[in-house]
Amino acid sequence: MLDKPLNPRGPELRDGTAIGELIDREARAVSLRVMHDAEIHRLELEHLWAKAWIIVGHESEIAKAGDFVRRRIGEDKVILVRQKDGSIRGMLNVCPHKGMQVCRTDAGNAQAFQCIYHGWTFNRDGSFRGAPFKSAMYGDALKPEEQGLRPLRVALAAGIIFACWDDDAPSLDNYLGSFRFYFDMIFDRAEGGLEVLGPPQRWVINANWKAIAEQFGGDNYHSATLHRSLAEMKLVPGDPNTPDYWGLNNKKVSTEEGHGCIIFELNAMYEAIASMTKGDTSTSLDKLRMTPPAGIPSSMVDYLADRFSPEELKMLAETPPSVGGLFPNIAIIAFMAPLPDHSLAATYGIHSFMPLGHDKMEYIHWNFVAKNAPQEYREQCLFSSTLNISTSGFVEQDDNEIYGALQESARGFIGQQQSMQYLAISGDNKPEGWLGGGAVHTDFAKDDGQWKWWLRYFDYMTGALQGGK
Amino acid sequence: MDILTGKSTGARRPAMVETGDRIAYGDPDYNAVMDFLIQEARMLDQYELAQWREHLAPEIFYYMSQRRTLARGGPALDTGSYWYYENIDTLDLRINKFLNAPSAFAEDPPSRIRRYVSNLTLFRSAEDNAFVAESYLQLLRNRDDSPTYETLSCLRKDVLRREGDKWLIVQRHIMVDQAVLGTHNISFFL
Repeated sequence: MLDKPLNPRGPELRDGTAIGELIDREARAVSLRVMHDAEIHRLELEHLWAKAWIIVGHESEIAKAGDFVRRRIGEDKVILVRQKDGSIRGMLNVCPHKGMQVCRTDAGNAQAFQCIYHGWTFNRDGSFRGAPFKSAMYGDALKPEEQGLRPLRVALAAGIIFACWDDDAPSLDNYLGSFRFYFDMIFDRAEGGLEVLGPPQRWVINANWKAIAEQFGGDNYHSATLHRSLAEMKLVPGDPNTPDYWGLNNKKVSTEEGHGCIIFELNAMYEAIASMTKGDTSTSLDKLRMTPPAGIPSSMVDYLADRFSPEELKMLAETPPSVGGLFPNIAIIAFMAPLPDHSLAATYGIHSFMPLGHDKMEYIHWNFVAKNAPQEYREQCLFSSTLNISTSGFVEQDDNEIYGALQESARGFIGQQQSMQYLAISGDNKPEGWLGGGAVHTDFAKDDGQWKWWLRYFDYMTGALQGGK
Repeated sequence: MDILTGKSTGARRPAMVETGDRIAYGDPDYNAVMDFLIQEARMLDQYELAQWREHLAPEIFYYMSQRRTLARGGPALDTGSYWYYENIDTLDLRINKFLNAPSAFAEDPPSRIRRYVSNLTLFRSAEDNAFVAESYLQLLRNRDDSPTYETLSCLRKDVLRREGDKWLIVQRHIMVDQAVLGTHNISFFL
């Protein structure tokens, strides 16, 4: 990334403003115009959604050969299909003949996909299979090898399906980069892997997708105000007028790739529980048995000692990566949340924010659980995730009140001259012996993560990544 | 599992309720159930949640199903993930948030919501005082400056129990027709 220009201008909008001018790197501010501009949306489809690795589902959604789901990347509908050999193929859901969608359902199992318009048919891998009256209609004019559904790159990480349109983009490993360590600690920790708890929830918010996506770059600061009702309901003991109540002194991780997460400090919680239960907290496994990581029932905790090194196990027990974001549009949620009786239950899953034009988005939420977890544990994950992080959840209910109003601000001519500010930066102060990569921010819940999210966004939008990482 | 007591927590799916004979429009029981559903909608529209709470049975299971667009013959409703998945404790918490938390921003300022209840199909059950009530609900929600409404159209299948002259909701299954929900959050009851 050394040859990357410091202030790339990128493509110009119709009024002569360059995309690169919408970020002020000195003042650390981003113009509100990025939230409400059809031209910018169009450029995002080209420079971001057609270039980046995007999460489209989990492999457990398409377990058997022929199983498929219909999803979106940017504004493009795609199909993900499980093949006979167990691999997953992705393809554009557009018939090459006349542009009709060849798949008209959200999910199912198919031997082949037949377009209902003229009957062109495609194999599970997207290759052309046939057309009605083919030789009478086309003679030699139709070349089957040129008429497949447009293919999509697909790669898996911890069973999560990523897809990418750009053949020249670096690998998914490269894309996750130094965040991979944290990603694996969050999602690759169940013996036998994870699975989704049912199909994803989807709903629409009248706001630009970035209004939410940048928040998950590391904005924990908002919790103390926007989520104050959590304290008012007295679900969690303590003094909500202190930063620690909201985890604002927790460590944060941010990476050059635009990914990041918050590290929860759990030792105080273990001590509190141990003092009530006389539980043992002498080893990492003792602690993890007391309160297993989200998605993992206590019966599956012992596996963690095989899966992780002793140092990693200590990190998972005492300072686990818990809430975060994957660039560009994914929220990661993995923590134990209180139920009405003050017991703790797993809230575990991801959100995805997909644009529907420049002022609307589809919000998609998947719940995760260890595939081998017993039924009772799965019920409890569903119960807790619905209560906290679904669109009826105590947390997301109030978050979702923000974005539409923010969009209204960005609609105004003067409003668009305002900016979103990232004044509070702590810089990298990684503790000695820290296991993971990226920068570690130890002082207060500052803006480092969100700011790096925006730097990455402008890397894509200005073309600064071309020909390199 | 409750880590302190070892007892399991969470919503419990109730046993299926056997549906008996249909009760026709105009029957006194039909009128009584319809009257309750109308009064319930009125309470919810007016945010009289403490009064609504009095109509929730302690063993209530209140849930709202998701749907997908699937080929004909596929399941009409999804299982595994839900918009709502509630027992009395979580309903109490939600009511408490609305009534008592000064920072319940999702409904402060409150939405203007109108619930239209219709198409009641009523059945007897194995118990004398319990009924299975299927009704349509159209919910129109308006917030802030929007001249348009967020609309939810659903079928509700309730198990209702009559205790004296009072009705209790024992089960409520809400089946919304949208695959992609047309509201930015669910901070209200249906």
